[in-house]
Amino acid sequence: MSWKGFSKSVSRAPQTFKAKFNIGENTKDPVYIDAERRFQELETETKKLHDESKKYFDAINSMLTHQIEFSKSIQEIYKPISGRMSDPDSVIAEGNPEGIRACEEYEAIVRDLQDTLSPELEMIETRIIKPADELLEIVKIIRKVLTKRQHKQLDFDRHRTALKKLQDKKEKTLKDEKALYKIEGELEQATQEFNYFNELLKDELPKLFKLEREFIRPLFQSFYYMQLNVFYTLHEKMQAINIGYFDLTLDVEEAFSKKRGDIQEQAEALTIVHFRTSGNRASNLNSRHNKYGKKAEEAKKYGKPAESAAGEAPPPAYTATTNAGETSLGMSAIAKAKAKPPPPKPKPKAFAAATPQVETVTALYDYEAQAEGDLSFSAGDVVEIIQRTGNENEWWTGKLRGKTGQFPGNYVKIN
Amino acid sequence: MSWAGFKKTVNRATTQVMMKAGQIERTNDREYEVEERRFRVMEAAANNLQKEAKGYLDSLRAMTASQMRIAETIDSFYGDSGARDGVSRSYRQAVEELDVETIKALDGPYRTTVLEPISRFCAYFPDINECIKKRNNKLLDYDALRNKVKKLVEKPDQDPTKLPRAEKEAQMAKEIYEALNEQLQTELPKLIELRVPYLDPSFEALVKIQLRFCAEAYSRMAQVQQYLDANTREEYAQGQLDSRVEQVLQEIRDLSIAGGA
Repeated sequence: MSWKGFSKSVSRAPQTFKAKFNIGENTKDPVYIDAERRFQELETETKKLHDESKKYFDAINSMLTHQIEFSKSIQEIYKPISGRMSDPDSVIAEGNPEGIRACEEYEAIVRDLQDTLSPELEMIETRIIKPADELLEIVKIIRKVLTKRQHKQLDFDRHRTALKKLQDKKEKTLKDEKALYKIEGELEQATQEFNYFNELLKDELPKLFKLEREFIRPLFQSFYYMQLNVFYTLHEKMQAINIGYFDLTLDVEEAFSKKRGDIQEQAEALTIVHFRTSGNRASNLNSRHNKYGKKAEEAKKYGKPAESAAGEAPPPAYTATTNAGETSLGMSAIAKAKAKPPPPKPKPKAFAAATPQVETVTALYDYEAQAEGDLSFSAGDVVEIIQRTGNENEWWTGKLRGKTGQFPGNYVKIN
Repeated sequence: MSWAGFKKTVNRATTQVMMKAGQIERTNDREYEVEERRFRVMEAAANNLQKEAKGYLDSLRAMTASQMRIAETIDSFYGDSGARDGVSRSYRQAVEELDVETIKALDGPYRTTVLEPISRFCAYFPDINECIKKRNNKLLDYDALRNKVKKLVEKPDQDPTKLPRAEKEAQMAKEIYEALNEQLQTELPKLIELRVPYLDPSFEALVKIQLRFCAEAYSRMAQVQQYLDANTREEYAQGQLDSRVEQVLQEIRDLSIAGGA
């Protein structure tokens, strides 16, 4: 701040204070006040428009990038994995060559999409973000004028109060007379300045509002068409996807469970994926191990986690189709009923469900809340049941450590 | 860390140093190592997949959310005039529907078919890593104990019970190590083999969800068109809208409060 600016703000300080707490006489121009309020709205809205259109632009870009990256990552998964990278002969014939081809095709489509969209997106940048940016600049200049008017108003009020005080004085000294003369001059000037800015703003702000509306209409229309084009292109290109690898006739979830079969159960039948839970038992054994002896027994126990895990494995008797049909049916029914993702695939666990009303259940597995209102717990926690159904494939409500929430019934065992 | 755990850590660190110095022989299991390397490749790829799956959903959400805020802003700019031609209103409605209905409707399937299966698969890794760590520790223990036996054989101790005891310990360590090693060696390839059937359905689901999103987004957007003048489209194509924007901007600049005139 310049020295001049500083001294001005010091001399205005008392009046600023008075204005804030509404002491003494303060000028209030209702027309102007309303205009100012509208201007403030305009200021924030312009800023929002500018920021959001930028975010929009970025989001579309990142959406496409993620699509490509996803495809690349899944391609990595499909590729045969060799333990000896440098030795090409070590590659065993595994992996998923058709999948890789599908990835390549898909990636080509998305890349093409990205190329086609980039001029469209460019247009958002030049025709929406840039004008909004320029308007924002202008708004900043206007904001300065508003501030200036505010200052002039303070000056005007300040001088007016000072003059009144002097005029009200009964006996005026010579010094007072001089001051009176000076203040009259100052007031005259302040009045002129204040009126100038006040009138100017009152006159031009409405013009600005009108222009703004005129500005926003074509801008919005442009934006709308750009958006429409973007979605149109997306739609067209995606619709043209003709990768034989995908079965596009089936519903998303249906096809998923059909393709998936019981792979998850198979994977979870492996002991190593539960190592931390089943491994604990092993380490307990180890500590006893240090005390020697009972080797044979230890060894037997050691093998036990594997056995028990195998016992939990699903009966493979289901044929893939009935299994898929059932799951998807159940899934969609629950989804409809609760508008909430169905419980993560039922874990294989056989127990009789028809036990009469019991108070608590013990968690068999860790469960992490996936939506608001879910109850998190870790395996072994005892959850108090608030409400439950006879079907373990539904969501139950329970209470744990003072928290109430829903959880999949197949994650717990009734005590 | 418990005292026992601390002791183990110290002992193992010593063993490792001795191995580096060539004092203790190291057991090498090449077959296992190949499997572990394969596992690492898969782990990296799957984690990447998880990241991208999340990123896609996030950017989709970000897009519809900012669309909605833009619509709100435009609606408020339009003010009373917006109510007259209904464009901004219907646009706002379309965008809101897109955000609320389409995204929310796709959110569930996306979670169950893409996000959750992938996350679940990735969630196996910490357990497996724990198992690998344990195997390596047990191997170190075994190597150290074997070395002890070797030393005792070469230079018998005065206490005759020491050797058999050490042998017994070494045997026990070997059993633990071998059980873990065996487990990893048979199960890692199984899991690696399962990765494709496990994760593959998610890819198809993702593509389908995208298709559905694009189709719905387009049809919702296209509905707004009926509220616009037929010739607006022409004007847009010919760039007249842009020149209009420019023109108004100039008019605003010309206002004396904007520093013009």
